[in-house]
Amino acid sequence: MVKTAISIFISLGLILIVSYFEIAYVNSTFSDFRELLTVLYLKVQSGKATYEDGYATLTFWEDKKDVLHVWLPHTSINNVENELSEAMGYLRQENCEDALPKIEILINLTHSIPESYAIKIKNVF
Amino acid sequence: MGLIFIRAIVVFVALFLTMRLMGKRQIGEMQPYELVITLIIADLACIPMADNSIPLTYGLVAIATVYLLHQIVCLLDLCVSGAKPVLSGKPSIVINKNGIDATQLKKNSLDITDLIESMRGAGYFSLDSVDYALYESNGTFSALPKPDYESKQNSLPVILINEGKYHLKNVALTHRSTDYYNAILRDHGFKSPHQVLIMTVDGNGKVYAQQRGKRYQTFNLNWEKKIW
Repeated sequence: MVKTAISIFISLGLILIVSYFEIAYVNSTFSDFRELLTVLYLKVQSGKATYEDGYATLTFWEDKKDVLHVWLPHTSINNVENELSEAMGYLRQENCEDALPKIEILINLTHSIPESYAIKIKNVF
Repeated sequence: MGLIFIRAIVVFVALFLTMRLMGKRQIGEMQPYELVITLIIADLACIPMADNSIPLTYGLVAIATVYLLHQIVCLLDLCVSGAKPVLSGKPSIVINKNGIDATQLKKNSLDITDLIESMRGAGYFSLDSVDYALYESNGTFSALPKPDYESKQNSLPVILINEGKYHLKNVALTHRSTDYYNAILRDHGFKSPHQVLIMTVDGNGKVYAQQRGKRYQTFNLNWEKKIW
């Protein structure tokens, strides 16, 4: 009985710690990513953005995405990757007009992805 | 992960309630929560393993949650005296000194043919060969035989009437008509065959008959010769 109670506490503790870490990591990563994207968006909007500005955002994403694969379905991460690649392509061509909607989509994804895996009634059912 | 944890709990509880509501027919030698775990654990492991768009951590957390719930159910089962009947159910006494308890059978989604099948499986071919019979909480069948039960089963009984309806094939086997049996039932206090919960007859003409809500009767039809 004591062994059972201990195993309950250990497994519950592990699940809660892992869940807490996951929520904290995913939220902070997407929050930081959103900040970078917002800065990039403003630069693109003013027409002053260069490929190097976008490259900083891309590097951040490349650094974080491997760990995100542990916590999030890979399709969600691939969506971000695809939109980011398109935005980077437009920036390389100095096509700010087409890069802007892509960055807007990415900003939206930074809200919607953590939201869809957050502990909320709508996500449970 | 937190979401997977909660979703795993929701699925576990939903399956567990379903299994408890389905009765003993669906269980078969497992406690309801063990069956629930058996049902879901394979998918929890296989889906993230086969679908590489789902992180493996999802499967691992779900399995850990199921393990946690299993341990909690085990602990409640052991420590809380009132929890066992709620979690695992109670044994259902389906045959007592008065005969078959149809209410208990219905509660467990069983009918009389299921009961007779279970009895045959346990080696009892006649309904009056046992004093008590019960389905354990894990769905297994147990019976307390009468001291002389072997002498009571020297010919295989067949069902003539089950829940008010004649089995005409079995009636034909006895080379008699339903009118013949209707008259016999009247002689033994049954107003109509519709009131009969169960009536069986063996090759020697020994009848087991029970009216709904009443004690069973056994009597002999005094046939001239053994039919089977």
